[in-house]
Amino acid sequence: MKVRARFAGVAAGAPLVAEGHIELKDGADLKNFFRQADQAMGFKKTKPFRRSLKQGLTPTVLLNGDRLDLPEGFNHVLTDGDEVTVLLPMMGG
Amino acid sequence: MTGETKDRAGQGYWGRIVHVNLSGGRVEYEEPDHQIYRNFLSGVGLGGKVLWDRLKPGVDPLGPENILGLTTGLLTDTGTLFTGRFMAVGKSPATGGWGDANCGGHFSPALKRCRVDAAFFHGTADRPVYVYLDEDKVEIKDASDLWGLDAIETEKRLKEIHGKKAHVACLGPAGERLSRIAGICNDGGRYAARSGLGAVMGSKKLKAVVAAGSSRVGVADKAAISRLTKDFRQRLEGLKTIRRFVGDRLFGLVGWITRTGPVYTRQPADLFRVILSKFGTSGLTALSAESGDSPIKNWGGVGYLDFPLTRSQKIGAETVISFEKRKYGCFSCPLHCGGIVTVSDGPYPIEEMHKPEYETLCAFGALSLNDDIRAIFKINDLVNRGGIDSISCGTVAAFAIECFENGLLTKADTGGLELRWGNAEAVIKLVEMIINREGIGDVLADGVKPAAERIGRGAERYAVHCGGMETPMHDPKYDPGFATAYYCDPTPGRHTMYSYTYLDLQLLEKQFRRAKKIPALATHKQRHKYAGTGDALAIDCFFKQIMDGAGVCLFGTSVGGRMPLCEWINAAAGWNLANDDYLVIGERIQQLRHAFNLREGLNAIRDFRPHPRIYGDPPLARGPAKGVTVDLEAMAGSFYQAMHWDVGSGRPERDHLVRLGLDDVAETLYGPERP
Repeated sequence: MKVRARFAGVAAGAPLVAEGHIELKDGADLKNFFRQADQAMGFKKTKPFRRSLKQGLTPTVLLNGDRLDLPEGFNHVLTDGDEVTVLLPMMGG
Repeated sequence: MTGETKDRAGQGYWGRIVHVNLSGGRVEYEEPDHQIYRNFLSGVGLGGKVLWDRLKPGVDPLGPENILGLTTGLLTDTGTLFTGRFMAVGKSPATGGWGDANCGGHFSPALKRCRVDAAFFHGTADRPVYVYLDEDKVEIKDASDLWGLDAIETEKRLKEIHGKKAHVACLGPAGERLSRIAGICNDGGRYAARSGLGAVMGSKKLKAVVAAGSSRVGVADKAAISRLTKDFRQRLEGLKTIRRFVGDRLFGLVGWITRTGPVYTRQPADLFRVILSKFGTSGLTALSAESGDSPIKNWGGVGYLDFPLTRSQKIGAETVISFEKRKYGCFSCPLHCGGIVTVSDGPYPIEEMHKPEYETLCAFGALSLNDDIRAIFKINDLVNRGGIDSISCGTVAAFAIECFENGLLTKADTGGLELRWGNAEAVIKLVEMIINREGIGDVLADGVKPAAERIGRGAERYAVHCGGMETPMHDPKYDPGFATAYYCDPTPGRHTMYSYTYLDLQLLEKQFRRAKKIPALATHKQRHKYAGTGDALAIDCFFKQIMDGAGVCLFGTSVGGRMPLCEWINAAAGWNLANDDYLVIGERIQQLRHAFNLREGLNAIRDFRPHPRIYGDPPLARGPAKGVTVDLEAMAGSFYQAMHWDVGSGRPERDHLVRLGLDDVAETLYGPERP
């Protein structure tokens, strides 16, 4: 199945906004999404999706525009055409 | 008038303030007791004490009885970092209560170099005037030729007259026309914007204050200041180095260090610093619009749906700095988050101006669904020149649009303007009308609350404010800590006071014994546990009062490295106070600000309740804040408890005021104590 991935946050010391598509196996959950998103989106080096989980604060994740609470949301099974947005929890000045 | 320059300095402050009565032209110097500084620091604390002692309750904020103070920080010009902010204080025409606003730039050290810690302006001049100060004299000068000029042109003219060393705080036309959302400008577009104090200055016919002093205040322990400053600077540099060398490869390690290290923070403060340094506050504009931090469509929309990344990116970060000509930094700031931009082509060319801050980008961007960066630049130039608060003005514009979209305003009301969401050109014209009080602009020039009252027919449902103050561009449904600050602070609707974000960035539990760690922003669920949050937010609030007494920039405490704020003050003033003693000072200042409002008949929990959209009543049906209603009662109740305030009357417990040394406040609020 194909899932749309969006990221807004910071990578390599600069704001990063990125969008793309990820091929996932049927039945994949959000955990699988985070495992594969960086490579699929061409972020092998900066890994913004995986690193967003390691910064100390849980990222805001939107599924088709609505908040998906973590950590329970990691087990949410995605479906074809879903859109996952990952937002780093930093804010403007 | 020439002032006696008896030198009491050597403690980070001069121990001298000046009172200028514009009604009669009388100038008086006052030497406050050292204990005043010990109890209230300088800046907002000194301003609060003077206004509490001298201002009669019930006076018209725009009448001659009101007092406008410009106060410098205790640490300003002492060899410390991030300490160049001044504070404007007075009774607010927007709320009818305590008003303050602070601002960076270079005016604060210039004023302090006039050998005064603060200048207070009383009365009303019979013609437009400006006040010139240096270390030897204070002069009230005719400003008839300046009246009507925009703020930037005014500053330019006064620098031509008094030289480049002179620094200017002045009004634009909005302040002259007593717009209750007018601010006070310095450094060509930096603003003490909030609380409507520009209108207070305008009511006094005081066009500008020119400070041209050159005396440096002494400090008690210069060597300690130098050592503390050097160490702090090195820590900031060290963070930068870590980020540079391991940030990309070992992000997880940096995250771990960030959470556990003694000088690091729960949020990626070092990264925040890098972004601020490179982009300024515009750096996270797009992210904030998407995450739910930014209010969208006059607080009724959702970023994902109404202002998605494809649009918000057009007004943030890279787009903004692509116009940047050079960096700009305030006095004693190593960060330089400001910038000067030029727009050389397109419909709105601008020779030079300060780049818009996040608040402006959002207030005239996401809030009215406008993604035209050039239009926002034009509006930024208009509000800077016109002398108006961009947060309030953007909110007023969004309010007017929503009124128009719903038929409460028509083209007949707006002078032909088609006020639709995203119609940037119409908003440009509307802002000009607000500054000039033309047509509908006159209705809107005093903020959304009075505007809704004048428009009627239910317009108040679109008037988003807290107690008469338009709300900043941070949604409490994203960071509920802001709900407490917007609701309970004596200056309601203020985003620079206290929040979970600041708690995460400042790690107060590592600096103060009384401060306890709370989950803050860790997860959505944790941040929406409202009960018992008052203690942590109260400590954050006290910390902010220390900052505002010292003249410190909020960003300096939020970019990692742990600013040695209390140690700096000890070294400057020659005190030997423990960090927690400073929290008592911070609380004393906060209680005084709150008591000022009580004396005016205002109790925050009754009078400053935020507009329902701010806390999510009804909750949004989509987006990151879907289903969220912040429990205002729980948060405010917890904060009131932490502050020892009675919910019904708002009064702090008498014994608590006495413990803080605020016996006179206790007597005012409770009457004389019976033997």
